[in-house]
Amino acid sequence: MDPITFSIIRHRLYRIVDEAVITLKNVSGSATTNEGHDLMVSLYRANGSLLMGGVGFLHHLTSAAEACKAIIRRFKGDIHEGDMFLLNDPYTAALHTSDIYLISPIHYDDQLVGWSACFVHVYDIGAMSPGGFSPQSQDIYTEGFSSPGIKIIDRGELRNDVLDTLLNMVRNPEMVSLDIRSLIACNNVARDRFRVLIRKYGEEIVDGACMTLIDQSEQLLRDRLRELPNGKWQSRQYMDVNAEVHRVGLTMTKEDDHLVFDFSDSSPESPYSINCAYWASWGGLFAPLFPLLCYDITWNEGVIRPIEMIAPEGTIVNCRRPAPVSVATVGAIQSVNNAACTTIGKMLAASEKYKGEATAVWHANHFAIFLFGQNQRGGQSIGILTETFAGAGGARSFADGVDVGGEVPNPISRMANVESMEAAFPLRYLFRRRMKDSGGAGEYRGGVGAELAFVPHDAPDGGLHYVVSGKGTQFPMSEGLNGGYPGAPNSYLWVHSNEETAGDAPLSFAQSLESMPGEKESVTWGVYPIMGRDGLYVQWNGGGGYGDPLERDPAAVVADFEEGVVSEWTLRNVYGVVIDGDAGELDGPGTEAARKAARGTRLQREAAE
Amino acid sequence: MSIRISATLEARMVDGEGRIVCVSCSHPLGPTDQPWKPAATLNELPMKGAGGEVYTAGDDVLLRQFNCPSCGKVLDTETALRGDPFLIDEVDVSALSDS
Ligand SMILES: [Zn+2]
Repeated sequence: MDPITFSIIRHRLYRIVDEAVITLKNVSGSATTNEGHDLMVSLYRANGSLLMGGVGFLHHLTSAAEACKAIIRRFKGDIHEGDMFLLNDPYTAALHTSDIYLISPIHYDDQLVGWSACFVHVYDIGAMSPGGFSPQSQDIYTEGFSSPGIKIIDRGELRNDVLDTLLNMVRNPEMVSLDIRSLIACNNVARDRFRVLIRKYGEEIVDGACMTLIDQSEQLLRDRLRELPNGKWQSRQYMDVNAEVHRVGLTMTKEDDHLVFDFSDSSPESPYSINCAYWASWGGLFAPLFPLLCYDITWNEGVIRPIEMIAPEGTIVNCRRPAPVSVATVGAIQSVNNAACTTIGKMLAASEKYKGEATAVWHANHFAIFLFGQNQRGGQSIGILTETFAGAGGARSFADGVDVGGEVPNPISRMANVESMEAAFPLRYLFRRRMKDSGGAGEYRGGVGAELAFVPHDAPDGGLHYVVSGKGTQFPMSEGLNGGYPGAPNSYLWVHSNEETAGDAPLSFAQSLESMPGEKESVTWGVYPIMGRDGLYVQWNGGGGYGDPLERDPAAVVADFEEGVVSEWTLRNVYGVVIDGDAGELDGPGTEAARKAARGTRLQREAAE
Repeated sequence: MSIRISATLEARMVDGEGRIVCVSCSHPLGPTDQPWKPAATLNELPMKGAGGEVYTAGDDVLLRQFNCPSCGKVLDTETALRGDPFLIDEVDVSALSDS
């Protein structure tokens, strides 16, 4: 095939996915999808293998491939032009029940030529808790509607019996219906555009280009792996839930052109829904691998071939039915993301050529709070605080992490405006701003996370309830790299501001946590009210730092201090910087002396042995 | 000849033996076929408060800083629950003895 045609087909495949994502966002009415970009669209070959990975949450790219393969197995002989299938069972391929895969075969001249698959986190799935994250569930049976594969469109006709069965089991069926229709529209666009591509170039040429593209990706990744040093790198993630500690332990081994991710050192499956099933871990390790090792390589089956995973059955990274998994995406899967980001970062840092691609861990811990209740218009609202997608960048070998800079597993993640949240829910924000000291210290600082607080406002029921499935208040999770500090942990505080605890002091105008009157109770796991005069305060993690904090440019530390993202205590005690007390200006000689003393203190420590 | 191990460490021949050394000051941290962390000085900070008040970690959570015993530079850090083993990273430096 001539290289021009190959290149055009490759770009057309990118554009098909792009246009499908735009469709998805514009049809869905949910802020989770169109504001937070909790979505994914990709194209798959006729056998279900990944052809063109799209944007959105990258841990879905390979899981949706398994979903396509599961549909091929289940519906063999019964897959027709115009069909569409729904799959959301985590023990088949999905990550958790809320992330519904809609899968569309693509036919041309009566031949199956490919698949389009997409997901959104639907408005509700009928789990114990509204919104899908279900911290009180003790098994998959209470985590809502779950299908290992069902035909929802039969030869172009929507099966209303199937859709109505699903809608009969969820809260806010009209919003869930809109979610499903956005997925249908998305697949329609992807399928139609793919068929146009084949009509123009012919099936043989397009298929040839697709196979070449996959082989090319495989070759490029194998070549890159050969350039990287051989070795073994370890990382460890801790998750605390109700005072119980769970670990995701990873040893990544690179030999020649082959990478093995071994999660054998992980905790047994948990009674809590932070577990994930096998294909979820598999997807989880690819979420950082695609952007960190394949930033210039097309994300397809070829990238998958050199990779192997070991995840023993019965562990938190390969749990057995009926273990609960509804919090997996922000639980074990996210820790798999983080652990793989660390080991890949260490491997890159060991390479002269690729050291500039290494990164400390970004936004390691979604707080994923779902609000629900009667809204100011008398209807019911359910939705995530989209700030959970705002994240924070990890530091790199040449630059600070980006403040509130998103996350590695979702390159298009973002948060809604405060006004959008206030329009969707009967609440009022008191503040939302960057969080001082939350970025991991280092020669290059991790990007800071942020803090927010809100109170009920114009709520017919006096307030709302919320689901919090937060881990990581006891452990920072955004690990640093090459001597950097981890980013600060998350924090969730219920501010009890009744007359007894707060007197007449009004919470409603507080501008900081310190100025919020009333008792502050840490809440991490379960369903809680935010009623009356109470408030909710959330602080989310910063990114990991890179390198020794004592080597950070003192002027950069002073600038951070002046901007309010580093405290005076941290400036002095972590970065060893001295400022003139009155003028606040950098004291160069004082800093040099303080840093020398700090290094001297380190020398007095015992050997690690 | 030297082989990069991380931003702070490399492998070099020292007196005819392969050694892991601190990049900043060339201080040797043991043979290349053994973990280097035991030869570093260990600063185990309580994670709570380690980077300011926002570090609200549990009492048994540590920030382990492995420092060069000669120049005091931080060579690596890890988050650990008290009692958990050190993370071990190994880079293949067999090319060093081949050279
Ligand atoms: Zn040194």
